Amino acid sequence: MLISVIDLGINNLTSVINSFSKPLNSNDSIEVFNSSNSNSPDLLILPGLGKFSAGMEALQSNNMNYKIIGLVNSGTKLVGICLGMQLLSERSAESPNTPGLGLIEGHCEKLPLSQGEPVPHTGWESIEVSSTDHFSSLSSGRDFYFVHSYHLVPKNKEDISGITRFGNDRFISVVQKNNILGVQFHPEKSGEAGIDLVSEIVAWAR
Amino acid sequence: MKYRVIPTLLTDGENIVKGEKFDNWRTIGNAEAISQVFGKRDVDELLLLDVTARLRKVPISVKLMSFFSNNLNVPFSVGGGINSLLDAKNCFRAGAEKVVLGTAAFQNQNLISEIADVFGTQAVVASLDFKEVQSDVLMTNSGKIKSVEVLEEIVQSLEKKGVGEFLVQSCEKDGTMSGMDINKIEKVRKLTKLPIIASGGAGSMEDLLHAINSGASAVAAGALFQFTEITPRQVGSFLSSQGISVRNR
Repeated sequence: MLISVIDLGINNLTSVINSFSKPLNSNDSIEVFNSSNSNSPDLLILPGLGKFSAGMEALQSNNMNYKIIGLVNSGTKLVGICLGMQLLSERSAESPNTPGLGLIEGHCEKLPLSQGEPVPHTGWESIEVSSTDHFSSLSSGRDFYFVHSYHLVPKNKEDISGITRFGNDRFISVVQKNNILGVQFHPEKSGEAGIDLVSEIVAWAR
Repeated sequence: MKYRVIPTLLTDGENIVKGEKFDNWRTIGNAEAISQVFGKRDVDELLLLDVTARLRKVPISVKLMSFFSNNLNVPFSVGGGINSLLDAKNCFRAGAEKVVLGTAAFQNQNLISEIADVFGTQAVVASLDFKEVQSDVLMTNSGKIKSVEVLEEIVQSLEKKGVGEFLVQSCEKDGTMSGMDINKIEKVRKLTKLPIIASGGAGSMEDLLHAINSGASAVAAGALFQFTEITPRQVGSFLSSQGISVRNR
C-alpha cells in the first residue's frame, strides 16, 4: 500500500511519518503528498497545526484541495488529524472567510472559556465512543493527546464517532463518514494507544 | 485536566548529564540511546533542557531534538539558549511540542508573544528558577545570574505576554532528592491559574504527590528516574491510587 502525508508547511511531519511507518511491511511505502504524482495513494493523511486559514491556503496554493477531494470521492481513505480534522469541515469561526474542504458537513467553533479550563486545551483525555467499526483502540478507555482551541461540530449526528469531555462540557473528538476519519487528538503523540490506533487505521486502509 | 508525570533530561549539547544545584554536570549517558529508552517507557511527556546552551551562546541542538522526535511517541518540551522566533521554529520543526524560555522570558518578553502568536500559548513554557528555599529570588542564565525581577510582577507580565505554562524549578533543591520546594509551588499557584510543572528535589513518589496537592499540574523529576528504580509509570499508578486523576494508559 501507499500512504501519502499532506504537508501544510507548518507542521513537523517526522513524527507523523514515523508513526505511520511502523505498521508497514516491505511492500508498502510512505511519501509526502505531491499533487503531480501519478500514483494514487491508498491512505491520505492530513495532519495539521496552526490557523484554519493558513492550513486552507497551503492546500489551495498547489490546488491540492481539488486533488484531495477527487481522490476521496474515488474511494481513497483520508485521515484528518487535529487541524486536519477541522479542515474537513465547511468553515471555522477561526477564519470565517476561508471555506474548508467541505468533506464533512459542519463547522468549527472555539472551545468555551466558560468551563474554567485553559484554552488551548492541552493534555491527555479519553474518548467516549458512540460508534466505531474499525477502531477498537478508541473505545479502550485509554487517553490520547490533545492540543487545540477549536473543535468540529458536525451537522449530521451519524458522522459523530467520538466525544471527549472538556470541563463539564463535551466536544466531538472523532468523526467518521465512509472513507473519511477525523481525530482531534494527535495519534502520533499518544504513546502506545496512538500506536494501536495507527495500526488500525493502516489495516482499515489496506 | 489529567496530572502529568514528566521525566527531565539535561544535556550539555552532546550527552545527557546530571548535576546538583544547577552545577557539577557529569555525563550519565548517550543522548540517542537514552531517547530510545524513554521511547519505550511511554511517558506522559518529557522535558529536555540544555543547561550549557545559554553559556555557549547557542540554542538547543536540532540533532539532539531529532533523536527524541524519532524515538518518542509522546510530546516533549525543550529549552536552553532559545533567543529568537527562528530558534523556537527550529525546535518545533525538530518535533518539539513546547519551548521552555528561562533567560529569554526575563530579558525579552516580546519573544513570548511572537512565539505564541504563531504556535499558540500552549507552546510556550516560562521557567521560574528559584535560587533557594529561603527567598523568592529568581535566577537566569542556567542559575548563574540573579534576576532583579519580583515574583508577583514577573508571573503577571509573563502571563499577559502569552505564556501557557510555568515550570517552577528550585536551584537549591535540584539533584538533591531531598524533597521539593513546596512553598514556591503554593506561592506560584496563588499567582496564576495556568498549569504549573513542579521540578527540583523529588526523592520519592510521596514528594511528587505533595507537589500536586500543593497546586502543581504536573511533576517533573530527573534524579528520581535516573538513580532509583522508580519509573514514571509507577508514579502514575501511585498517584492514581491516591485519588489523583492521571492519564489512562
